[in-house]
Amino acid sequence: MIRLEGVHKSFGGVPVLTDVSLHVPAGGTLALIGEGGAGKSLILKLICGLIEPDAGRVIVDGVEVNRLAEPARMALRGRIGMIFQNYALFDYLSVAENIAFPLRRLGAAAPRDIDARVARRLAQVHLPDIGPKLPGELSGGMKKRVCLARATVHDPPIMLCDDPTAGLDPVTTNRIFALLKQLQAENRATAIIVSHEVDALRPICDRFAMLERGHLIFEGTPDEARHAAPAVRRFMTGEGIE
Amino acid sequence: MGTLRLLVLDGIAQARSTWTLLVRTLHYILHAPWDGPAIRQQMFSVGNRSVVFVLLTLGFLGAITSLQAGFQARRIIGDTSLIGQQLLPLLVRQLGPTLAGLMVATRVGTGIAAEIGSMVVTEQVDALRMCNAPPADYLIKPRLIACVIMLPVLVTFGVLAAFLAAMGVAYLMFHTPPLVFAKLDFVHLLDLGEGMAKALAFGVSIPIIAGAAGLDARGGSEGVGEATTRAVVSCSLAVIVLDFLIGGVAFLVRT
Amino acid sequence: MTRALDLVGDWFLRLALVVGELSLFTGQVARAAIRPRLDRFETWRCLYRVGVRSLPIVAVTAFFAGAITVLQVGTYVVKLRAYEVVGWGFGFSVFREIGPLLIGLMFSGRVGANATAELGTMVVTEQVDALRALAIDPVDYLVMPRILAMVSMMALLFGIGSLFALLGGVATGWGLIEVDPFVFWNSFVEYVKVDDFLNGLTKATAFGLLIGVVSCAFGLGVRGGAPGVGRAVNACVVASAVGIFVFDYFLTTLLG
Repeated sequence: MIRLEGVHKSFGGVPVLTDVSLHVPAGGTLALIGEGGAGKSLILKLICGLIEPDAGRVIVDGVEVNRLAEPARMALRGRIGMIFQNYALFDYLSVAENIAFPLRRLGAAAPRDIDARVARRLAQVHLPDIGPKLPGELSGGMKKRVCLARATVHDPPIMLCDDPTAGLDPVTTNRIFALLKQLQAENRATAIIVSHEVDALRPICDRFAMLERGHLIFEGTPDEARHAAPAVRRFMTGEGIE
Repeated sequence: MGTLRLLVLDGIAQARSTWTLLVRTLHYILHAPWDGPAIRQQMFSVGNRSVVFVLLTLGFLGAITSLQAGFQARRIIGDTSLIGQQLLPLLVRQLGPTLAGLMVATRVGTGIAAEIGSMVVTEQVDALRMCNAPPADYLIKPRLIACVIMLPVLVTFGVLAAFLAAMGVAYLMFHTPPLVFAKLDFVHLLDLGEGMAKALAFGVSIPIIAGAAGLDARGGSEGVGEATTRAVVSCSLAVIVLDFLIGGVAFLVRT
Repeated sequence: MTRALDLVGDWFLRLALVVGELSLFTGQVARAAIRPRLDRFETWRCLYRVGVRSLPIVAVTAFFAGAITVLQVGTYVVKLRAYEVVGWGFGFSVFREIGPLLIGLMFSGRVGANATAELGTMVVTEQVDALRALAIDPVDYLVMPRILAMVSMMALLFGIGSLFALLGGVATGWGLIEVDPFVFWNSFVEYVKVDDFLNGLTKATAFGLLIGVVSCAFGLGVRGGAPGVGRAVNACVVASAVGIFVFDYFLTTLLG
């Protein structure tokens, strides 16, 4: 369960989020859409406690994140799988070591099981043979799939995906979303997906939320979006663009 | 006046984040296991990056000071045989550690700031924090330990290079025989202690200051560049200020 | 063993390459300096920025350089009870050696690194190519104002820095060695000659020229996008530091 209540955040006096309230029930999947710079990535970082809100509350599984001390926050983050916008793969570690990293650091698996779990996850993202390679040798789509593998290798009950398909072709995009859905269903994870690919998101998300310049202007099912404000309809369907 | 005020505010912010990072890293040094391979790798990288540089620059430094001292000695007392015994303590307690520290600040400080800064702007540091690997523990701690071990080593090498170069110049320019030049008994234990204290202090401050600059990097590659140049200046300043403070304490102990 | 030799050989090859490129670039600069076509606006901008950027750092460095020197000189002065020469030892070392050296190193870290980053970014974002397309020679337009700014600012800053060094020296002498400021000042005025100051000024100016040429050469030589800029900045600071020591040695030999 993830809940934001009246969250404000500004950087250097410029408001980035204004009074944002959101609710994602346990096991639910929320698509977070909006133009670039609307504050979508920031919401994900607030949920992980990587950034503090100026006002308002961020609650994950009944606990207020910004009240937690650092060790408790670390424990909370261990239950979150996060896919970063810029890949954020450790470029000095091999792909296999990257994926094993959360298992090792979080103590989520016995050391002798780690290799098997990494191999299984790599096979699941259809990249069985690239374990020894370095991230720099991979294509964008492969890197995203490695990110997906690393973010979910410890079976986190919460998944946060920051634009998991940015800059990818449609075929790869669909493949990534299918994988996301599969992994989310496997763990019955609560998920928030930030993306622009409205059509690809429709089958895998039960609710949509849209941000515009830091304001939440819509939250509801895809059907409800049909009757929402013009700005939302435009974004959801691409209609009315001159 | 506005620029000055910004500068001061910026300095205060930087000092605060550096101090926080120091406290956190010390906490992890005491309370978390040490990652042996990572420390060894950092030691190698610190040494590898700077040993040739330190030897080369300190060699020239030795030659220069030998020249200056020789010219003066020849002009004033007409005897250049004493410059070795006067120069060596100075090299050991001040010139060697300070200039070696400045060189390491330049070479290793920029390296650390660039490395960590680019990890910040590519969100790798956020990814670390998601995996129970706080940057102070996972990134800064091995660098700090490696620098604390390697700086005394580099300073020793540097002082040796400077002394040998000084000896060579004294022989070539002033015909001082190497054996007359190399009078080691003028170096007191206190001089050695002062030099090593400085080396250790630089070993703590360089990785922390450079690391804090890297962790504070914001926005793409320009941010990394800014963090890097900031690291050079702050680390060098720290070396000079620490040199003064430790030198002052040693002076008071000595007299 | 062969690996070590490989490394040494590799190192020398790279050194030769850097020295060669620097010499070529110096030739270009020298040619541009014969018939200077300085863009007045760009020159003022560079002067202003170089000065503003480096003044605080040079003032602080010089203050501490003075303080450190007095500490070291003081060790001998106290031992020999020769309080009347403290000003001489101080002035001599600060002006001739420590001052130019430390100010030069700090200046290279602050201003030189910045110029490399700035020019390097202009190269990778094709702004330099855009200048060439407008038939503007980057050496005339970008490099000459920067070198001029660095040389003149180093000379100026050495003067200002000397004052701060004196301040640091007198304060430390007073506070730690208990040398009366008047005694300090008298021995300073009596023993330190204009020669000592001019010697340091020459060094500082030469370092300014060196830093200017090196930083611009590395900046314009950037290849390979943003990481290339980072590498160039690193290489520039290292090359400037080595260059400063080498210059210092030869200038000391020449100037005596």
